[in-house]
Amino acid sequence: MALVEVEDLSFAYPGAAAPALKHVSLSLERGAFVLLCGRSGCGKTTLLRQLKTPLVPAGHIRGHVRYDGRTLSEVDLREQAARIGFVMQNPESQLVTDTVYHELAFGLESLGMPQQEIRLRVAEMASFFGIGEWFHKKVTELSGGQKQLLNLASVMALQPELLVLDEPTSQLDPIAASEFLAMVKKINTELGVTVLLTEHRLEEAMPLAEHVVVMDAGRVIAAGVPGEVGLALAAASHPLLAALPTPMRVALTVEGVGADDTIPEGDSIASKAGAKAFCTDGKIRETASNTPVTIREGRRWLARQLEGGRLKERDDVAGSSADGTVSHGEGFLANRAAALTNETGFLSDETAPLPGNTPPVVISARDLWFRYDRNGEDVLRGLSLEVRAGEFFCVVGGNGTGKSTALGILSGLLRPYRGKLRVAGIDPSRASRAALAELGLVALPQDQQTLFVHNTVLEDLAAAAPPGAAEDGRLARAIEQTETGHILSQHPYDISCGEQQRVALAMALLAEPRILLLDEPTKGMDAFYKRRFADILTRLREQGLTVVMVSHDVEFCAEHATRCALLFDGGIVAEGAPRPFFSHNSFYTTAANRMGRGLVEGAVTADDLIAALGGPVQLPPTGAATAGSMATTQDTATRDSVAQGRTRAGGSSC
Amino acid sequence: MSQENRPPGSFEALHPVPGFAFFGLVVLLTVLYMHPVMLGVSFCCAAAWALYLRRGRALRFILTLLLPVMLLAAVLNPAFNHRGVTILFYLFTGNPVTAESLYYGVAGALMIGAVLLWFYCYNLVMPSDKLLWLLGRAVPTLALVLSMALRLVPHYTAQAKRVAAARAGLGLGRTAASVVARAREGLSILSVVTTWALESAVGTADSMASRGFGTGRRTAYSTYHMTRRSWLALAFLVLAGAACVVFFATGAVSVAYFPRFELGGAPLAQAALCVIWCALCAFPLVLDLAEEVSWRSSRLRI
Repeated sequence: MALVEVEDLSFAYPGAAAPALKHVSLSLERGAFVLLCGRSGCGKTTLLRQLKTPLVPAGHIRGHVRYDGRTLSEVDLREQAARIGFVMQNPESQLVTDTVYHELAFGLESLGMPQQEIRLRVAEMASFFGIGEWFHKKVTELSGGQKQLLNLASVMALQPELLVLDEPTSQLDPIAASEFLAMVKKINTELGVTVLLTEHRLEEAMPLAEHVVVMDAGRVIAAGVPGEVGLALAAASHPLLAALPTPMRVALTVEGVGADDTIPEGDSIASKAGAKAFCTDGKIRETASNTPVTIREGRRWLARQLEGGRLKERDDVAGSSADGTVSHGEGFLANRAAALTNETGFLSDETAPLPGNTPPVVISARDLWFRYDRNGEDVLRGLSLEVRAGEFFCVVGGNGTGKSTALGILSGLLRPYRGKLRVAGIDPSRASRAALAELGLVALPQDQQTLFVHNTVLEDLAAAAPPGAAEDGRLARAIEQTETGHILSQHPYDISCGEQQRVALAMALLAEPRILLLDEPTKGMDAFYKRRFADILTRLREQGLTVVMVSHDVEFCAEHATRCALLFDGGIVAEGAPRPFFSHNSFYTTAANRMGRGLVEGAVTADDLIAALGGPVQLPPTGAATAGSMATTQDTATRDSVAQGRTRAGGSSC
Repeated sequence: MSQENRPPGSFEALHPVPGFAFFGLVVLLTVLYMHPVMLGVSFCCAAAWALYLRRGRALRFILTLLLPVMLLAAVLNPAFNHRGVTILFYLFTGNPVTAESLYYGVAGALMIGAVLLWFYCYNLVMPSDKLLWLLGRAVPTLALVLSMALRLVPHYTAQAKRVAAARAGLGLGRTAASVVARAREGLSILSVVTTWALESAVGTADSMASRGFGTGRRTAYSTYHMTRRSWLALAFLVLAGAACVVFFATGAVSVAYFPRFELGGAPLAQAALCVIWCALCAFPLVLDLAEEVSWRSSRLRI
């Protein structure tokens, strides 16, 4: 018997036009690891909350949820607390008490366990999670990743048999996120706990899952092993395809499964339950099990493709300078760049020395040293960098290497104790606010919620606008540029993460920036929003904006930056155009590069690999017009799903 | 000192029960009997322990804050209190200054100084979780509320700082230096933090409910163990405290400041009381010093 059975469940928030869940059926076997994915606002959180009575939101419910054979609402609350563990998105707000050990004990205390039992369980969990070192710390001293691990540990102290995780890593950096997911996997394999996980970071989560369920607009549109689901998504050319792990995306695109049978997008595959039927076909089932999910499988798959001569046939067209597989790839990529330049006038990033005059240097930092505390450690040790006008400069690096600090210094919020910093000729830490406004130096914080003061998006934008901006159309233009028109009347806390980031960007635009500093802007955005965000930035850069961004998101930087730098030990250790930069790194690089290493040299993005194998590639946007039109078509699609899916879901704060 | 770094034999490492027993006893007995020798001993022991725990910082506290307050107390009492039979001189107001009121002033100053110093030490060695432990025994929910409050203060302050920085980065606020503009900016920050706090409280409430809060009786967990050492310490403290009380209650020792300063009781009883009181007051310092000595020698063996 399955541990959890959801049967034909529909749910509507009070007053919402459309239900948030429509006839959802789902069953969780004991010990399973199930990944629930879908774009933000598709009803994932709403579904998860149906699995624990105290968390069920108010609204109209139809259908059944059974736990261990009993209707869930009839299971005693104490029993639910112990047997169903629930970890939510926000690491900070889930913490209840002030110390780590008290937090671990909180659930056990609530269940009235005797002192000796609590002591044992807390000790067990602390050892299992490796919390020993920070057992006595205050929770405020922990990093975000540690906080979320603590939340997981304190839920696990109750020894649940089902663990439900609602986008637990959306606020963590990639390193902390993969540590967290590895811990979830360990809990599943070593303790046999059933796991139901929602994630937008499919690159990491998909390889862990045994079973994947895809939701769209409140319905389950595909379910099965990762390969099957990938095939179903590819067959429907579903937008979520862009979020799949690189190996899957490359293989599915290149092999072109279902590209010909044109299934119209959106609801239709759900209504026909096309995905299910599709996967039961024997031949396709075989293809599904061959679809690579991990980098290792991806490399094997790629090697097979290369043996099969996929690369060669394209290379013949490209030229015959090749003398081995490795340089085949290189030859191809060079040709691809050339082809792109010829066909569309798109200038590839490698062509570093631009013809004519080089743009002026707008930010120049020389030998910056900084520490937060007089007796503390240096965070920056001799940081030097130069950014030219119109660049999209990305700084990547691990945790605690000083990325955000560097940004704080560039924006003038922090002052280095040594070194020389000039932003458009002046030192931002000594300049008055008025002078900085004149310069157009604007920084966006990592947590965009810190900017929202008012009850609607429009009020917030109006408050951020300089006097007269509403009358002369600057406000309207910022709204148009960031595509925030459809959410103006909503509360800024009620819109999705990607939308919040765009509202924050609109606020920044109203300050009329010439230099924009971004701190981890893609955190919590799904793959789809990331692309639109990049499009917006591209258009703004064409109007002369310089962008400096610090990020953990190597994929995003590789695809969209004009120059990348690696920060380590308080200084920049390497920098260059994204392609040579990331193809030179072996660990701190994109999944596509790790997959193609030694096979297709120089490939940095999934599109590179797809192109190298002769698959269909989307050309990068070449100008405002293209980008604009692309964005509008996508816009209608999202707006529909947003309108249907997430009316007051409430859980998707970032 | 953080919990993990305290040496295992120090006073701080004792169970909260002997900890509270000690502070309760010394403060209570110091205030209750105002025995001049006891006051002196209490003050000296408290000062010595404070200096041991905090060195220069305690010295600065004593010199710049404590001594002026004590001096003021010692001077003010004879100026306003004219009881007593031994008149030393007359003030310009015509009121007498008596030796008794001077003694009483000095005793009062010593009492204030000693109590303040004991509280100074209390703050250093009795972290909030010890208080929580005590409350948790009695009212588990109150302990939880306190623990949550202790988390929220730094939680909110940190967020307010982030909000201020974020707004400065966008060039909001701060542009106008006028008081009104700054007050308005402060209100904006407060408003952001409030909204965020409410949102965050919803998350906390969910997290509490999902971990079984409010489903029935609660227990309180603590990391403290009542070791043999703690039991012995408690026994010693209770016996010494009881002895002091017995001396005064039976009239074996008595103190009077007015109308004439008088120390009552046999010299032997006085001496015995002093020895016991010294042992009581010096107890934590002796424990810490002994621990340091043994710690140094055992560290040589690591």
